[in-house]
Amino acid sequence: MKGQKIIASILVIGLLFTSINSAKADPINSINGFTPAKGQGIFAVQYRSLHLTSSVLNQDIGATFVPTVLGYGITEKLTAVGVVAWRATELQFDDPFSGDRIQRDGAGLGDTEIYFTYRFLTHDTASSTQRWQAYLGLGVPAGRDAVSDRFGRLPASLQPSGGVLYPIYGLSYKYSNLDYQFDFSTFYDQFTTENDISPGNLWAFNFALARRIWPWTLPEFEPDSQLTFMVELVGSWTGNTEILGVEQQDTNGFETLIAPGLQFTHKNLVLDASVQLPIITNTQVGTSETDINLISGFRIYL
Amino acid sequence: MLKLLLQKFLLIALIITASCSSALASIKVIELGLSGVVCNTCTYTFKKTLKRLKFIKSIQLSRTTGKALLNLDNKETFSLKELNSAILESGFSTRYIKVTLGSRVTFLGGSYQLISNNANFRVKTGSNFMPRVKSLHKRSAQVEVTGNINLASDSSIEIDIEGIK
Repeated sequence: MKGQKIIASILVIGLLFTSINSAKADPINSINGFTPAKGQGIFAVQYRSLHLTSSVLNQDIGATFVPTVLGYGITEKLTAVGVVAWRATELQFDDPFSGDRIQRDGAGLGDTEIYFTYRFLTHDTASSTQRWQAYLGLGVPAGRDAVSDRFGRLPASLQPSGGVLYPIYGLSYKYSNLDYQFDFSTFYDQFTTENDISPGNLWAFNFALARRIWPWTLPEFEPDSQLTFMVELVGSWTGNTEILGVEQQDTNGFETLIAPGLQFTHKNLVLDASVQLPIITNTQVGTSETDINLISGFRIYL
Repeated sequence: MLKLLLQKFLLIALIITASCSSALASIKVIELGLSGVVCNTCTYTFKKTLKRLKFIKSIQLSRTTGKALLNLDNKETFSLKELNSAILESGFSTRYIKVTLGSRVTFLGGSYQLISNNANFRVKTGSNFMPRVKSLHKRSAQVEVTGNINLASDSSIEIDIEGIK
């Protein structure tokens, strides 16, 4: 039993954290670039279903992540954003002692992120815009980080909340014309230590290209609705996790996912859905790899 | 007698109709040359921010031409300063503004900002209500339209401010 607890504690520390927490870097579901006007709010909810595997003990990991986002335009350039997330994680692995399949799971309120975005450079023309934004914020472990099951306390990566404070730094660029849209964003989450565990720092980036497919040609006066096809390249790098001050080798890794998706816009409502598939995976033996992620969400400009 | 009454009624109806047509003809229109309003939600944000202004009745917006037509409420006082603030608060900007005001309106002047994507642009001011260039930078200009007026007669105002290369 003790052996199982130890093994279950060191499993999935690594990329699971990355895959779940890189929500900020996905323009299909984010508010990069086109921030709210002064006094305007944005409300968004995502549903993320993630599936990861690892060859170590035949791990099978399923995670559901539901972040709720509220943004408010303090000025036309400065936006305050709050993210509260609900998270459920399930891990199945082979018990090396008995050979049985063991399941561990946890669910609850996850980390809360509060950050500010500032649009520091804008280059507008009649038919295009370029916008640069800086992000600065803090991830707060306001949720549940001490969930236990029959084996004891869940490992950090299965807890709904990461349990540590982390400053967030980011930068985004958007180019948009009447037909196409290009986005780039990058974020860095610098994790602190709590309960003797410090998750590896996370660097995430995203390139996205979008084309309006309906209507293909924009009519002279504004259509109420439109459909856009988008393809994204989502990358993330995670550093080694530290436990009791000791850096755990083989817990870092790098992944790049490709994500085709559709976005439907009707006036102030945006609905979107995408599928993330791995194209480059460079992970260590002890970390998990993404199989497939399904993402859908909506966003309302209030 | 009945015929005479009917004729009078028809005459009164005609006068009322003519007055209404005259009021419709004097609707105030503002044309804005937009910058950066290129996405679907951008148009929503832009329209919503400007509709907070009491004097705006409706907005027609075309992304393809980069132009917005604002139909104004004749009963409300039009303020150039308030219009300028709302446009800036929406997060977008304008390249030019053409104001055509009909009869019986109250107009409050003010400062208006033009943004250009061209370095070293100039501001062209025209019309019968002379705007003054307050400050001019490489990509932006502040134009002052001074004075408040109250048009009681059937005269009209045209203000034409345009950022050019």
